[in-house]
This record gives sequence, structure tokens and C-alpha cells, in this order.
Amino acid sequence: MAKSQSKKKKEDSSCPKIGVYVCHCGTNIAGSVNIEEVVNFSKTIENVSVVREHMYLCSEQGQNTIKDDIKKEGINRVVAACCSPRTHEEIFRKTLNSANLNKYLYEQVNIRDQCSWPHFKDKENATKKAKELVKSGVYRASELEPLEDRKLSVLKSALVIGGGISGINAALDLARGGYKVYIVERDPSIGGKMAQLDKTFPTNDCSACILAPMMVEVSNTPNIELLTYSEIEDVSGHIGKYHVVVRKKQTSVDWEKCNGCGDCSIVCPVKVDNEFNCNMDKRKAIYIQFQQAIPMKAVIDKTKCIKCKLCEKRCQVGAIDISKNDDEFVEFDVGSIIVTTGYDLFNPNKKAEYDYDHPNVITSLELERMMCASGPTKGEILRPSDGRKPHTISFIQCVGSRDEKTNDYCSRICCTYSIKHARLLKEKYPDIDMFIHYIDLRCFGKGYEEYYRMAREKGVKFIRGRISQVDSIGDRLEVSGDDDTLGEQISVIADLVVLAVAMESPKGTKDLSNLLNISTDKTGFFKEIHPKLKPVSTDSDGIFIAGACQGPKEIPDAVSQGKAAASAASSLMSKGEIEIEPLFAQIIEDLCARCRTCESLCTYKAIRYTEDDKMEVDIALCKGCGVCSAACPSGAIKANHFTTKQVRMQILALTEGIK
Amino acid sequence: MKIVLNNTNKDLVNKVIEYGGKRVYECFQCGMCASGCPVASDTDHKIKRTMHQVLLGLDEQILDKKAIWLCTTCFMCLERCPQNAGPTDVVFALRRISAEKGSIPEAQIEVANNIYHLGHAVTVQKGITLRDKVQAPPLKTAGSDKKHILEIQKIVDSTHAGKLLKIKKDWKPKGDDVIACD
Repeated sequence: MAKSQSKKKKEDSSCPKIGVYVCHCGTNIAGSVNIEEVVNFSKTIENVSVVREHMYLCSEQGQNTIKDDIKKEGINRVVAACCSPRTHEEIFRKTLNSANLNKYLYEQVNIRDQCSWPHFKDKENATKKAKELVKSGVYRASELEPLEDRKLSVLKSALVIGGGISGINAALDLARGGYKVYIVERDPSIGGKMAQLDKTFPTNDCSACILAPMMVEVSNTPNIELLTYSEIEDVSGHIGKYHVVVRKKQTSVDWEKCNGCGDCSIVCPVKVDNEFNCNMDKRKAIYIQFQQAIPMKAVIDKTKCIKCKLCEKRCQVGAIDISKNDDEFVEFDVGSIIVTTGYDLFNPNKKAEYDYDHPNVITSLELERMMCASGPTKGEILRPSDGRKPHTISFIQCVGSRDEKTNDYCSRICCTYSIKHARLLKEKYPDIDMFIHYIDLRCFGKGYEEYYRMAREKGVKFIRGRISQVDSIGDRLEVSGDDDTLGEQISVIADLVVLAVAMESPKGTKDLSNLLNISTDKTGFFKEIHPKLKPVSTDSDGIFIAGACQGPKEIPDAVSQGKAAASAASSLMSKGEIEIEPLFAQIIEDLCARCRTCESLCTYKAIRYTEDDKMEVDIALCKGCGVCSAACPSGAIKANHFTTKQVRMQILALTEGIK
Repeated sequence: MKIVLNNTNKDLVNKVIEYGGKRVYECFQCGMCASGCPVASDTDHKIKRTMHQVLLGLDEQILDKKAIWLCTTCFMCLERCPQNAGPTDVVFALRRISAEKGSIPEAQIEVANNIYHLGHAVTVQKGITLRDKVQAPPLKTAGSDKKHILEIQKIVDSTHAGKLLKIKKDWKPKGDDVIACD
């Protein structure tokens, strides 16, 4: 049976009958490519037996045309001249499959992105290029071979890197679905940036009150293993089975015993800047990160500890052992990975004109900590320089955003959070004057417009125009800018200046991107595969991104993406196995000289030399990029679906007749 | 000269609200009011700017200035304002505040006196002959009957409008062939 099937396939590939389908895509392609000319030309290419045009080839009707031709006309290769394979290759492969033709006998020529879009002003040459590309597609199609998908088993467990609001949601969703989840968090507690917020727009919910119960649920869920104060050391393997090594930083506190009473912090004589309160007050060298920390366990900051051992003596449960210095390592395997590493804030010192060194020039997060009842000022707004109440506050927008010198993108949340700050403060202190200096107010979310209107009604003053400078005048600050509506230069004498600093990709993003083989974009954030249709997928299958590590976003979007990533990971893992494209490299053993050139070149660490003197390709890791195949001095590596012969035929088609 | 936004008149916006510009806070400077204003292109009356100036308390830039009196009160801005901020209402409020301060342009004083003494804002000249040619009855203005004029004057005198509008008892309309009551 198997033999006769393979014989049949050989017959198929030995005498190609190719169907060419040219799509108008409405006017998207037909607007600047002469479809009729492409169709007539296609009929003259060798091996082509059917040529058709269609207004929308991807419609059901269009796909049925292809199916009919496979069944009735007996075509055994399909070339579609249409849009991008990124969005449509899978669709047409399925069409072939449903007509019982091997789906890898399909070739897509992108005459939209390559012809009609870039050459929209030059129909003649756009058409000429389209014809050449169709010809090269047909030549390649003649050499296509049927391939079978491979099955790969998938572990039903996931790693979530980063325990902020996005990661927490991803982890909880997966755990509820029955998957084992590991959360790795750099800080001593999960919670991320949201734990530092006082209230959240547009409903003014207390941030801790909506976040803390979820954090507690994380710690109470048996399926979730929480690894805080930990970092990813190494990740190897592939979709379905990643091997993860986690470095647990030494806390010198036995968390099994620690009951979070906090006595150790009380006796500790070492005071250091408290990062959680934006360095506006002090914590001890042994500390619990914040009041609602999960896990509620003490950590010794080894860089600051003076080893006085007072905490060791004080601890009633004997949890502390100062002499412990070495980090611990934990290893486990997971089927998929979700990256939710969040964001860092822009360092406003890079915009020297805003004089961030002045104590009364603060960032929005610093203000947020001040506004918080558990913050350094217990919720009172005071000038850091003298602890007096301010009379006038200026909010400067877009600090480090929409700026070619720093970050050219919009950070999306700053408009609404500054409005939140001004509004909440105006409610508490109606006599303080608030000015928001903006370029555009982008309050785009559900309920945000109303939020903005209420700020106006409360008397917050909105001045359109970027601030050029902040100078100190006596014990106050002069904020100099422009008022677009007045058409005049303005200045505000302020007691407190709040900088709405940009969101940036977090420290360590580059290292993590190298480790996981996922790309970042020009802004430094992780890059999704498709901005609209695959927003949480990365170019490594089985690794997903969610939340602000993908780009600036507010809490509702970070939560949505966390849940989306959990859903994507879940649908990947639920069956316990997946089908993968057979587009990997194959070693032709008889030709291989074991020079191991390929091994050193493979970016994905997919080729290795085995103990029994063979070169082995890990098909789950291999992306089919073809580097090994091109570099192999003896031609011993065949890149499936991109064989030397197939590529040569394409080149031949494009160069035929050129002298 | 840089405008310092501290120490501006914080009461202005409250006064505008009290005097009828109740929704001035809603303005978010979209410019819809100014873009349809029929007088903006030829005068200093820039309604979008005026709304902003009220919110900032820049009274010196608005009150005592001719611009707010140049509004034709066509209500185009009020009809079209997407926030229902009522720009025309704000203009009325500003005029009321100005008038209270005794700051009214001569032209408006003349209009007020016309109404007080003649019963209508614009004077009507005697030498109109066209009506005769088409055999229309002779023109009777609102003030042709002394009884009506007295009613108008009674209303004005019973309020402090007369004082604000600088009504003069010995006022004479401009021109010598104006139709007036006997």
C-alpha cells in the first residue's frame, strides 16, 4: 500500500500539470497590475495547464475553483499569484488538502506586496514584474515534492516569565485549565508595576484591592509553582519540550520557615533606598518587599548586608542563616513559554531641560507612590524639598515619548494617568492649581473620554504645547512653554513638576530575546508575528508574549493579552501533540564528511554531532532557514521544500534570456 | 511678553458660569466653534481662544476688549459644539460681566438707547418713498405708539439694565430724519 502510494506520488511529480490562479484582490492588485496580461502570459509557461483569474481568490468561491480544477482538470500543482503567504499560504494549503492533493505542492507568488503596492505608479513595470514572478513560481512548482507533516508530543506545562498583572492572568488561566505553571519573577514578590499604583483609571479602583486577591489566588493554586527572587538562567529544547534552568537568588532566609512577621527588618540596622517607593524612603537590608507581598517572605539584600546577625538572633522560627551565599538552581521541562516581562520607565535625566535632579521634579510613578496610603508620605502630597504642600502642580506629558531623540513611539497610558493624578488631587486638594501640558491627549479606551471630561469639570487646566524648560526660581520652579491656542509663550510658577515618563522595554530584554530566539522590534520591545492577527505569537513556535513587554499598554490590554497568550498556549498543549511543518534540513548521510560546519552555523542549535558519529537534525528546533544547506561543502544537506533544485529553477526563470 | 498662568483671575470662570456660560468647562479646544464663525476671519473675535482664556482666567485679554462685542450671535458655534460647551452663552456672559464693569462700546450704547427711545435697535429713515410707489400703507415702527415705548422704558427702568447700558434720558438718535414717536 505504502509502496503504491509513493509510486503514485512519483508519477505526480514527474509530469507536473500546473494550475495558475491570478487574484485581483478587488483593486488592491488589479489597480496597478494588468491581470489580463499576466493571465495570457501564464498560459505560455511550460507545464501550465490551467490559468484563471478571480476577484477574490481566497473566498469560498475562489477556493472551490481550485478544488474543481484539481478534481476535474487533474492539475497536480497550484500556483496562486495573490497576496502574502504570511496570511494566506495556510488557507490555500488547506484547499489543496481538501481536494486530496498534498498541501506542499502549492506555491504562492506575492504580486501584491512585490508588485502592485511598491510600483503603484508604474503599471507597465508592475505587470512585467508580476509576470516574471509568476514564471519563477511556476518553475519552482514544477520541482515541488510532496511532504508529510510531522507529529510532536507536547508537555502540558508552561513557564510564565514575569509575575506582573499580565503574567498573573496568564498563569491563573492556564492553571484553571489544568496545566502545571511555573512563574519566574525577578523581584521578591509578584505583582509587578501594578502593585506600586495607588488607583487605576478609569474607575479609580484601588490597585492593591483588585490585584492582591489575584496574587493570593496564585499562591493558593496547587498547579502553580512560584519562583520569585529568581531569574531565567538557561532555556533549551523546542516547542513541546523546553528545558528551563532557573537561578534562585540566595535570600539567606528559609522560606519554608519564614512566617513573614517582619521582626528581622525591625532590628536590622542597615537602611537603604527603597526601590518599591521609588527611592523616596528607606527600607532595611533584610526586608519584605511590600505590605501585600506574595510570597510574604523576607529577603536579605546581600549587597547591603553587614552581617551583624541581629536578624538571625531575633528570628523566632530560626529561618535566617546569614552564612548561606550560593544561589540555587531549579530545572524543569515545559511545553510552552509565555513572556510577560513588563516595562521599565524612561530615565528623565536624559531630558536635561526638565531638571530631574531638582527634588521637586518627580516622575509620575513617584507621585503615585506619594498618593498611596502605604507610600512614603502616607498619601499626602508634599514637596520633597521641604515637605510643604504645593500650591501649583505642572504635569509635563510625553517625556521620552514621541521624541526622535529618545523614543519615537507614544507610550499610550501617560495621558490618562496624568489626568487621573490631576483629577484625584483636585478632588482632595481643590485649591491646588493643576496644569497639564500636552501635545495630543490620547484618551482612547472605554470610559476614558468621560474620565477626561470630569477632569476638565473639576478645573484641571489643559495647555497644548510641549514644555521647553524647567528652571528653579527661589524655592519654586518656572515651567516655560507655549500655549497653542493663545499663540503665546507661557510660564507656570510651580511647586511640583510631574514628568509623565515613557514606557521602555525592560532591562534584560535583549538577553532574553537571544536566549529564547524571539525578536525585538526597533523600539526594543518584543515583536509579535503579526500586529493584527497574531498579536501574542513570536517567531519561536510555542513561545508567546503578553503585556507591556510587547509594547506600551495599560492594565486592561495587558490583562487581555495575558489571557490571549494563555489561550494560545492552551490550544497548543491541549491535545498533547501537534503537527509541525516538515520544512527542516535533512542530512544525506552518505555524502556527509562530518566536518561540522553546519553545527557551528546553525542559529537555532538544531544540528548536533552524535556519539555514534552522525550529524543529527532536531526537527523541532530547525526552522528550515537553509544556512546549513548552503554552507555544506559536500552538498549533504537537503533543505526540505527549498531544495537546491527548486531554488535553481526559480533563479533560472528570473534570469532566462538575460545576457 | 510671556504670559504667567499663575495669579490669573480664578473667579472669572465662576462668574462666567454664574452669568450663563454654564458649560464652559466642557471645552476641549477642538476648534469647531471658531471654524464656523462668520466673523472670525475679519475680526479679532476668536471664540476658541476666548473659551480657553476664560478657563485660564485671563480676564484682561477678554474683558474691556472689542472682540466679544463683534459676535453676531448667529449661534452657529452653539449649535455645532460637540461638547455642548455653549460658546455663545459664554460670549453673553462675558458681555454681561463687561457691562457690569461699565465697559460697553459706543455702538452698543447707541443700540440700547435706540431701543429705549425708539423701540427698535436700528433706526428707520423717513425718506422711504418706495412704499408709496407700490401703494403700501405708511410705515409704522414698533415705537410709533408712545404707549409701547413707555412699556419698554418701564421694563428697563425697573431693572438695573438702564444703568449698565448707559441710557440717557436726553438722548437724540443719529441723523435728523429718523422715524420716532411724537
